[in-house]
Amino acid sequence: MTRIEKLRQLAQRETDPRQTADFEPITHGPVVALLWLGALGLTVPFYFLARLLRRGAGPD
Amino acid sequence: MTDFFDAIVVGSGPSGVQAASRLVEGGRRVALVDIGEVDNRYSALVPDAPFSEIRRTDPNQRLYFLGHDGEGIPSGKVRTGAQLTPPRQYVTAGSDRWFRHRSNSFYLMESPARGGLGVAWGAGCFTYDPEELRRIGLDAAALQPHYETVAGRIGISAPWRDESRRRTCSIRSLLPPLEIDSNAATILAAYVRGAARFESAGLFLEQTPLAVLSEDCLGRRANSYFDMDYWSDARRSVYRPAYTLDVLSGCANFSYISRTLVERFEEAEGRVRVQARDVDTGERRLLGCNKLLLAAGTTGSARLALRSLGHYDRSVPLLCNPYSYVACVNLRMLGRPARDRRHSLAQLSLLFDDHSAEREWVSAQIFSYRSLLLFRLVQQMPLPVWAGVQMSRVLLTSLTILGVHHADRTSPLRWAALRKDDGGDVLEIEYSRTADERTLDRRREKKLLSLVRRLGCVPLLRVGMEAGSSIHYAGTLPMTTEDRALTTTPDGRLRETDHVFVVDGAVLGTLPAKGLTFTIMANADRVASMLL
Repeated sequence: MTRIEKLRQLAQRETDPRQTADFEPITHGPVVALLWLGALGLTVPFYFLARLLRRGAGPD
Repeated sequence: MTDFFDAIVVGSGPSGVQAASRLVEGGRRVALVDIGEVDNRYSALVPDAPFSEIRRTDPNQRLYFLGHDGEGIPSGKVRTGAQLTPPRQYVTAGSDRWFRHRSNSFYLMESPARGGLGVAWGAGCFTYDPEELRRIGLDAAALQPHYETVAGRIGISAPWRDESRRRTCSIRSLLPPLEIDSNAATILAAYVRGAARFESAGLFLEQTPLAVLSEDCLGRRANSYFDMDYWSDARRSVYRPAYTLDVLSGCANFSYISRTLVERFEEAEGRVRVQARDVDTGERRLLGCNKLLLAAGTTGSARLALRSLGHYDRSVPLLCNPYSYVACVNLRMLGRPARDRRHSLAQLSLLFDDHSAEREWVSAQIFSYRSLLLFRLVQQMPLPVWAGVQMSRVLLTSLTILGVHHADRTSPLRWAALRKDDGGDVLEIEYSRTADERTLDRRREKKLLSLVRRLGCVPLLRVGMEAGSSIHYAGTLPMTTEDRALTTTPDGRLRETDHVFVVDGAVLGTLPAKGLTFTIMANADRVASMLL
């Protein structure tokens, strides 16, 4: 599935009132927020690596 | 000639309706002509309820949040009109058909809507300072009463402060301020604590003066703080030119001629003949008037003037505020809850003057983020989709978006010209900035962002938008005292004509960084007042 297809799917989920909770802000204080940001930030190099590999394999 | 009026106004955007108002108030028989597209698809679907409640309860929200055809989901790079949600997209519907243009360097937005580009206006009301007005060829004292008149018609909410000290909007006729949201409140508090230091560095922060009602008046209702301002005009609290048009339509000396495209004008025997076309039937229509006021937008008015005066292949200047946005995290709000009650428009305005010789402001509007939904944020993040969602949820309450505008001046690199082609004519546009101009803009922006850091906001991502994306267009028929073709006199008259006047952004020969809409409305009122 391409990124734009995943985004379309995400937009559909986000506008489903039964799934609202999955998109609400995470507000457990600045320390928890920083831990989240740190963990998610670790995925950035893997994201670019995966894109690079996909590009090598053909069109996205 | 079938219909004759004292004055015909072409275009129902912010300046057109203000000029028409002044003429109608002065007892003139006025016709306003436009195409007048309206939204028949979405306005009835969007509930008048808080965003958070809609998200939890409305099973039909997908219809307007994403659009019937999914048009609310960007499928590539958004070049212009990122803020146009599906219920607002009618603002440009059919514009390619009626207003032909071509460019590889400029992303133009024109509107055939009832209310023109004012349908999507962010409602920021900025007055130009005396120096900025002098560069345009306007006198501050002469324009001031027209700023006040327009403010009285549209309703502007802003904090009261000695107007001579207010940098964003120096007028007296203000409504009480709107509430600001949690994010903006912490930024404003940080600024107030260090105000002297920030001001000596050239940075001024104020609550954005908005054409939004903070109390019921003018036949409209106060803002509900439902955070639905990008989706709905349910209470009419955010000003739209169509509301003035509604008021005018109740006047016996006013005619609204919609579904009509004005194609050209010519003067004969001290009068103006206007050739128009019914956009539905294609039928030609001839109108006549003593005075013609062009308010078809900067490029629309230029197109009409160039065509009517026969100036094909002759270039006119084109100005547009360079625009970028910067996503920042407000550290004071990181991981903390925000109040649900808020409006969606700009909360605060930053003005920055780096004390350079040019004495030009850089301006930035500060927005919080929520009601445009998370998937748009995720699209911008260099993360897998699942991680982007979590990141957006963590950052949501602290996310601060700065929309940064720079000033623009006339340059041979930025122009528009009307070319003949098989289908009639087409407006060709070329817009580029020199390396020096780009460097200067970036240098000023960096200085601004270093001060924003001191307010506790850490910039994460800067997105430089394509030329045209600010939708602040000006300068095609500049006002000047020099007697040159394709310019306007200080009283707004188009040179080479005796009875044709220009009342929109086309007359601004320089473009300060502050939004131009309030100033062009005031100038439209000024020009119209001189015709009484």
